[in-house]
Amino acid sequence: MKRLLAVLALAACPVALAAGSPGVTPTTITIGGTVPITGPAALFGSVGRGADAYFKYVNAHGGVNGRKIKYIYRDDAYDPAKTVQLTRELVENDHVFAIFDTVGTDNTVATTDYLNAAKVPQLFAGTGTARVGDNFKSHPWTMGYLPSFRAEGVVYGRAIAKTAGAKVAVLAEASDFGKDLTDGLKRGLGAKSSAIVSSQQYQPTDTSIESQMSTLHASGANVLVLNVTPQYAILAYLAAHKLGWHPRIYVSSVCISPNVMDIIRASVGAEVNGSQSIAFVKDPTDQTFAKDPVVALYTSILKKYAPGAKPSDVYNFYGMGVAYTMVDALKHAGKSPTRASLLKAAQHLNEVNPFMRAGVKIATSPSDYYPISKAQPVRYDRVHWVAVGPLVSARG
Amino acid sequence: MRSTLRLALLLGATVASLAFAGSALAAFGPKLVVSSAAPQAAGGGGPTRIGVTVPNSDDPTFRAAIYIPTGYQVATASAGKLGDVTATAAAADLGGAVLPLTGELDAIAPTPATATAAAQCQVSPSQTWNLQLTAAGQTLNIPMFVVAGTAAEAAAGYQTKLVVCLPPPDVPAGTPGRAQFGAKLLSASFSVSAITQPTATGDYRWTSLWTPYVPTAGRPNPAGSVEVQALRHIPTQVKLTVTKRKVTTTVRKRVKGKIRKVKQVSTLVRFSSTVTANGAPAASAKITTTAAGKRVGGASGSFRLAAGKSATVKSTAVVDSDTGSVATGQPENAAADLFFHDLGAGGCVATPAVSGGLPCADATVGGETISATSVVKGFK
Repeated sequence: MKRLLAVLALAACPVALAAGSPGVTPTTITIGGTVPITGPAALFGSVGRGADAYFKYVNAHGGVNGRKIKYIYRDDAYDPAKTVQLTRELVENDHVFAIFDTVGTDNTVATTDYLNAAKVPQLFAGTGTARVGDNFKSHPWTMGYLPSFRAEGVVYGRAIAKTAGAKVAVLAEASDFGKDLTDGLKRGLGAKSSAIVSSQQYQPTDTSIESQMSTLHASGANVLVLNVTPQYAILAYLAAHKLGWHPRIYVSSVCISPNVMDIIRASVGAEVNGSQSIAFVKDPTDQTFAKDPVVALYTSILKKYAPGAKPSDVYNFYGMGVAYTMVDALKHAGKSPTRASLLKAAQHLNEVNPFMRAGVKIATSPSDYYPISKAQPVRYDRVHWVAVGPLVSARG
Repeated sequence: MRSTLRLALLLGATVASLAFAGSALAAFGPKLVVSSAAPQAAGGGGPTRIGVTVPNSDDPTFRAAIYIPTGYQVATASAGKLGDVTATAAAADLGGAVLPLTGELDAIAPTPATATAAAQCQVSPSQTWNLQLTAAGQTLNIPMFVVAGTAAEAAAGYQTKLVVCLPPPDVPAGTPGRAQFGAKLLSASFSVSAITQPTATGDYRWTSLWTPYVPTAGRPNPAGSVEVQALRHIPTQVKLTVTKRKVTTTVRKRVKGKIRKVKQVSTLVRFSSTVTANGAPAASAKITTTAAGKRVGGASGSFRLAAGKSATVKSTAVVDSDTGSVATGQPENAAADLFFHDLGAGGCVATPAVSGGLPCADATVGGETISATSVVKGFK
């Protein structure tokens, strides 16, 4: 009788687990997320595909604590309203354990209240906004992944402040993303913030930025800061080219994937050379990393689990990098993971992520929600971003 | 701003149409370029490289039919990769930015989608190939159909043609069937192992028939069609002639503290190269000659070898590559472009069976780089 009870208790265990932790069964953990596969930020779409490929690779090698990761990612077309709808579906219909890597600042912010009220971990969102990174007290269930946008702006501001006679024009997305970068730029410029002679914004749904670029050009600026997403970076470079304007350009790190730069280079030629940004992931297309084992791993994973994906599309690589951290967090959430144990694991990361550049560690604490603390200033030179100087702080 | 520009262009085009009513006004000047995928073997053979280019200011392309001349072998390819593809396209959705596209040409089994495309293209293909291209993380699939020529086309020397139809790029965003990104083809070049070059000597004239879209209307403009051609001279060869002469000189040298006359032997090597295209002098060739890896001259010249030394003399000819190129979209690697020598309309021989009397607008000769080597052993 005792033996029978013990067997029944064991048999009931997975059911109890499943009931306690939505999205977790004895053999699987289901996570979900939204990615702009279409729409104005479709260039980011490969983030989901790269992450998915990495999870499949992990599954093929035993999964996490014996469970396979099932990753459901849906196309929100970069529309926050759709992100909300799809996220709710993922939580309420697909019963995901956690939301992983929501791509986009507004998209993340639009879902934080709902997910925090439901106590669903929203981990490693594709944003570096202060509205997420600084709000760990009011919204502890949401953590971003990108370096702080504000810190990135500070890096550019400090670099520009060292240049005599700089007259700065700023093009920014009308969002927290653009605002944080611009705030950081001003902070980095410090006493020289009056060097900003013109600022223009665009809406993420705008199809043209020609009038903004004309205004910025007319300001007489010799430095252009692009606090923009990839599509608008392409439009801005092209517009400057058409205007015959050759400012020194600082471009947001979210735009610097080789496949974006290839388009810019094919469109404006050598004018792209000398552009500056920051980088935190390795560039698998750069000879500097040709012998890095993670590049060979990346290529083989893409080939096997995402056939047709282009290795030069570094958003795939970024997707794998953030998936690596998610796997790390899931491992540390324990053999019987709960949403609370996953959040605790995410708050105590101390990871050397092979997808990141040397010296860029992934580390968090309950009061530090910026996993990436350092970044590498880079300058574009013909076909690649070249490291310039030492790593700099990327904390909020 | 862009709408205003479009309207102005449209108005301009309308006025011009009225002024020249009845003439084929569409700006449409595609070029066809054919070369070899690898340096041409002396007797021909080997896979083919095909390139096309359309100026950015031209009307968008609706259909291109490329006619393969008799002598080329077209194999029935089993499913798989046939070659590599590079292309460029202007993306309306990205402000006209140039998309560099890369990918491969594959032989595929027909699918419902390719069957629909074949019907829209009005062809009954014997094989279905696919240009699978990626740009900005997105994949573009463009079916390419291998189609038997009509009886009249076959009688004119064209038993097989490759046909591609492209979606309209310049209709409003959201229009069903609009090209992804609003991408307008500017250039494409692809190697194809299933089309092998002739081994028999001759001048092989490829031809093609191109039909544009009516700008911004999304419907074909058959009246704007043009025929353009590409010539291949087989074989195109460089002939290197090397002669050597023993040169003996006397020099004064200090030997064991005394000045003595000493004989020194060296070798004077003379070289000259000529390039022929199917036996005739090539229209355009730039020759450089190296010895032991160092440049020693152009098409002809001389150099000296020290006593007992030997060197490999290599003559490299860049042939028919002087007028233009089919861009790969990699400005940092311009050597990868497919270069050509443009013969213009004067080099085009109309093929009524193909064009039905439409203008024969252009012909090119595909460029290539060929070389010849000779080992010279110096006198002792």
